[in-house]
Amino acid sequence: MAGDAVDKSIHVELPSDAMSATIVIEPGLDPALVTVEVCEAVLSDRKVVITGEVKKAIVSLVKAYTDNPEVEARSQVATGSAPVHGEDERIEFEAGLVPLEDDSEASTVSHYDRSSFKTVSSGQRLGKLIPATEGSDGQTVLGKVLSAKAGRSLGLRTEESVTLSGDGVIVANVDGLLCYRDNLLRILTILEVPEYVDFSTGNIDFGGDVEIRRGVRDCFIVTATGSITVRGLVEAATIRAGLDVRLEGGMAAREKGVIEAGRDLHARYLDSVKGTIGRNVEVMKELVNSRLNVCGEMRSGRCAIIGGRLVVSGACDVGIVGAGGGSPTELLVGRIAEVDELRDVCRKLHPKVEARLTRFRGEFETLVNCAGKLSPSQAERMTELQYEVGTLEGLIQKLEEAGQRLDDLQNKYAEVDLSIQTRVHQGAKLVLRDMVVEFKDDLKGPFRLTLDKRGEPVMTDLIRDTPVEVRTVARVYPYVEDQEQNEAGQSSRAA
Amino acid sequence: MKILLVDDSKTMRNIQKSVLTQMGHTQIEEACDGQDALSKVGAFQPELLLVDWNMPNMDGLSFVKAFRQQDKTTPIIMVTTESERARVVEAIKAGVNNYVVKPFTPDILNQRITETMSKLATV
Repeated sequence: MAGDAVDKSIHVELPSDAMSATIVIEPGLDPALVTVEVCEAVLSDRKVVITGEVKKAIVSLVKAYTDNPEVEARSQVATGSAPVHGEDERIEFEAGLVPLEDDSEASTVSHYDRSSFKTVSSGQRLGKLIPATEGSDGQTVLGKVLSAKAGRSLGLRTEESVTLSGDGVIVANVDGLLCYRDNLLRILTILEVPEYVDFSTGNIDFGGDVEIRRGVRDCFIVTATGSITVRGLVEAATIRAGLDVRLEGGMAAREKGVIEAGRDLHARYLDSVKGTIGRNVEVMKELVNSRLNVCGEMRSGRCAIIGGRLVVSGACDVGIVGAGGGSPTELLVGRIAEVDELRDVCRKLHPKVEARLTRFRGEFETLVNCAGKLSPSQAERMTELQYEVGTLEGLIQKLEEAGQRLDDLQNKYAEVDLSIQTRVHQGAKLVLRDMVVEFKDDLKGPFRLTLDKRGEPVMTDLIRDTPVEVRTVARVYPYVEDQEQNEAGQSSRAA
Repeated sequence: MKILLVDDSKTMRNIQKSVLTQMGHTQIEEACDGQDALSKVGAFQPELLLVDWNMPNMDGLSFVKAFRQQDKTTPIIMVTTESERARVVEAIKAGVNNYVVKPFTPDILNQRITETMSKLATV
């Protein structure tokens, strides 16, 4: 009888996944029949494993029922444990470092500065390889083991451009673009941009060579420590290369675009570009309305230079200079632009210093000629004036010496050798170091202009290989750096 | 060498400083009158003083007298417009080692400083 009552009133709730076991004691059962042993027996019948924790839970349940047998007692006395799976091996990249092919950046302030290409430097710590973990097994309340899955290896491969040390630290061995693709981590020293440099790429600042398959859009900046090659058109953008710049599609800069090349520039055409080129320039078609300083040679025998100002330190070989419409074109050969700028600073400063010196000298003379004894304030002023005059005289001497040194530099390092293959148009201004040669009419080439030992222009017809008297075909006069003075000089000579 | 310039005119101090810098001196302190100078000599410990005569608060002569009570040896050059013989004698009696009359050229200041320091070295 008692056994039936127990069977009817005490039962176990066991879910299908066997992750818990709950004992339920219905009200009305004689409390004397509700013991720990009885409850354990009921659990055992259902194959539930009796552990110390389970026993404690049963004791609490029995006490609860005994205290109040008129109310149903229920308690989850056993709980299973789920397996904890191991974590896969992974790379934890340093903050802010997102390799190519895994760009998950949200947003930045400037869309021009939002570059998709993050470059790294040699010696920079890139991140750490975090090893896989084993995980831990679980168990049901019936004692069945639930196996945990171990973390998987990443199978990381690296190239010589990165070092993976024994403790998992990853360090860059070269400057370049960090790239992680198909478990291969490496640094690319050539950045290939498959489309345009635009808002999809942002500005580019790369420690190596850059090759752009299409073009560069307005206002974007491409900087590279190596060379930059652009297959398409460059708009009003900025191109800065430590080595060469190669613009296969040309550049239409609309007076905003800039080129700075540490070494050579090769371009199909350049329109309204400003820039400085460290060595030689080759332009295939046209150089239009541009202001370029070329520190080496200009090797562009087919190029038409139309408008703008081109300063070339070395030999210069061009096709056409100027245009029929009279577009003001200046071609300066045998001049170093940087030296010219410094010379200009000296030249402009000299009269200012002279004027100040004259004023102080005048005031000083007045005090010297002053009848009677000087007042204390006059004596102090005289001291000041003596000091100022001495300082300004020293400054004028330094300016003159600096000007002379700059002239010497220009004469030593700049070469005057200009060849014009096809034509020079009337009005185009050719400056051979310190002499301007302005042709009275259009003149067909090919011819060559150099300077003789006295600094006078010498012209040679390159077909007949005979000298031509320059002054019969052109006006020749000394070059004055300041534009206004230059024009004034011409007018006075004409008068 | 540590040099203290005492003059109420900033321009004069700048001129003296420039001359001293050209002579190779870099440790230069400035004071705008005698009182200011007295407050600075303790911490700065100058090895030469160039002192103007006419200054507000405390004139150069009063400063020299006060300074000589605590320091009998550090050389003082008076740089002033006071050129009368009596005034020069008064300054020498107060403890001034040399005298430069304004207007002076940088060369004269340079020469007086060199002269003063050579005399001191000989002593």
